[in-house]
Amino acid sequence: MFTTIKEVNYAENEVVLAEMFRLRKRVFHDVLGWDVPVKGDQERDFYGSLGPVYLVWCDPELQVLYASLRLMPTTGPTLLSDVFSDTMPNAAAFSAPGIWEATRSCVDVESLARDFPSLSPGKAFGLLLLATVECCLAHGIETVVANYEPRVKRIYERSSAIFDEVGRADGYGKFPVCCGAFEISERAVSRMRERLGFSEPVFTPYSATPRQLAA
Amino acid sequence: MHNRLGSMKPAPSVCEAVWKADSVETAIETIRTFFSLHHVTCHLGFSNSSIVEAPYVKSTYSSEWLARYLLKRYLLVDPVVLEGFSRRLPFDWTELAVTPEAQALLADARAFDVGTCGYSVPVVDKSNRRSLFSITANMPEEEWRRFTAENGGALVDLEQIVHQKAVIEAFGPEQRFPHLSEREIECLSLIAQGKDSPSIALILGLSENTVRAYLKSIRHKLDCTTMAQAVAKAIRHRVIGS
Repeated sequence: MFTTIKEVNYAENEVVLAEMFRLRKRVFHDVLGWDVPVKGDQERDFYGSLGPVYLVWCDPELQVLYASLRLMPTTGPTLLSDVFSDTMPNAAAFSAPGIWEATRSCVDVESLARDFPSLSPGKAFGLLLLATVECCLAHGIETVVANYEPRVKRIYERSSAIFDEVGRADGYGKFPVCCGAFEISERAVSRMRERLGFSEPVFTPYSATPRQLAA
Repeated sequence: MHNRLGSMKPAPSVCEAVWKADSVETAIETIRTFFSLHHVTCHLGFSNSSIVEAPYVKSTYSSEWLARYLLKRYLLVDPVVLEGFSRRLPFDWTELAVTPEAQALLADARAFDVGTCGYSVPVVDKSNRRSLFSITANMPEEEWRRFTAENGGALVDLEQIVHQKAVIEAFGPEQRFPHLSEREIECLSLIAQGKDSPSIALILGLSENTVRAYLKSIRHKLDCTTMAQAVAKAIRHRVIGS
C-alpha cells in the first residue's frame, strides 16, 4: 500500500524509514553516482532534518519497503532550489503555497521482484507517481516539481502524467538530471488511473496499524 | 571653506560626510555646502506612469519652487527629467532640447532662482533602479563648464552614495528584490502585455498548469495577491519594462 509517513509518525516507523535510507544509498550513491551524504549504509541529507513527508510503498504492516519519495513545500528550503538554482533556474524558481517538491524518488527492484514478480520497475515508477498525485490532490496541492532521470521521463509519459520538463542538467552523476512540473488534478488522476489499470485510489491515508497501536 | 573654483579632486572627506549623513536631505545639503553650489536635487526611480510610482524627490530648492513645480505638473515637461532618465552619461543642461511645452517651466525657474547653470548625473543600479542627481549654480557658463569638468568624477561617486541612501529611504532597508528566474520574468512580461495563462502557455510551449505555477510563485515571492499588483511592483523595481 501507498501511504505517507509524517514527522509525527517517524518514531513508530523507524524500521521502514531506515530501510528507505538504505534504499536511497543503494540507488543514489551506488547506482546513479550522485554526490549525496552517506552515513554507513544509509543516505541522509540536510533536508531530512526539516520534517519532510515521506511517501512510501510498503506492505500493509509497514515493514517491507518497495518504493519511496520525499515531499517538501516550496515555501520553505528545498533541495531543488538550493541545488539547481544555477543549472536549472526555471525549475528551481517555484515557490508558493500549493506547490511542493518531490525528490529522492526510488524503487526497490529486489523487494518488488520478490513480492510482485509480474510488475515491471517501469510500472512501479508509474504507480509511485500516481500515488503521489492522489496524495497531493487530497492535500490541496496543485503542482509538484520533481526530479527524475531521462529514462523515468518516458515511464511518466507512458503513465499519462501531465507534466512539463522545466529543466535538465548534466554533471550530477551517470545520467542527466531532469526536473518536471506535474499537474495535480482530478483530470491527472483519472488519466493515470485509466492508463495504469486502476479504478480505485492506490493511495491510503496513513493510520497507525494494529501492530503499532499494540506496541 | 572650499573655493567654488578649487578642484575637489580627492574628496574622501565629503564622501564620508555624505555617507554618514542621517538622511538624503542632509546628504545633499552636505554636497551643496562643500561645492558652494546653488542647489542640489536627487530624483529617484522616475517612471512614466505616475500612478504606478509617486516620484521620490529630495532637493535644496525652496519649498515655494517645489510646490509650484508640482502644481504646474512640470515633471511631465521638464527636459532634465524626461531626457535624464533615458541618459547614461552625465550631462550639462545646455545639451537638452527644450520643447515649446517646457518654455513656461524655464521662465518660471528663472523667476524662482533655480540657478543659471545645471548639470545632472544619471545613475542606474544592479536592480535597474534609476536616479538623477542634479546640481545648479549662478555663474558664468565658462566657469561652470570648468567646474563640472574638474569635478565630474567626484560628483558621480557622490551620486552613487546618494542613490543608495535614497533607495533605502524610499523602499526600506531590506532592498534585495526577490530573485526571479528568466522564465518567471518572461511570464510577468507577458502578463504586462495583457496575455492570460492559456496564451502564455501557448507562447512558451508549456502546460497551463505550469504557467499558473510560475505566476503563483511570482506572486508569492513578490508578496502580492494579484498579478496586477505583481506587475506594478516589478515595474517599480525595474525588473520588467513599463
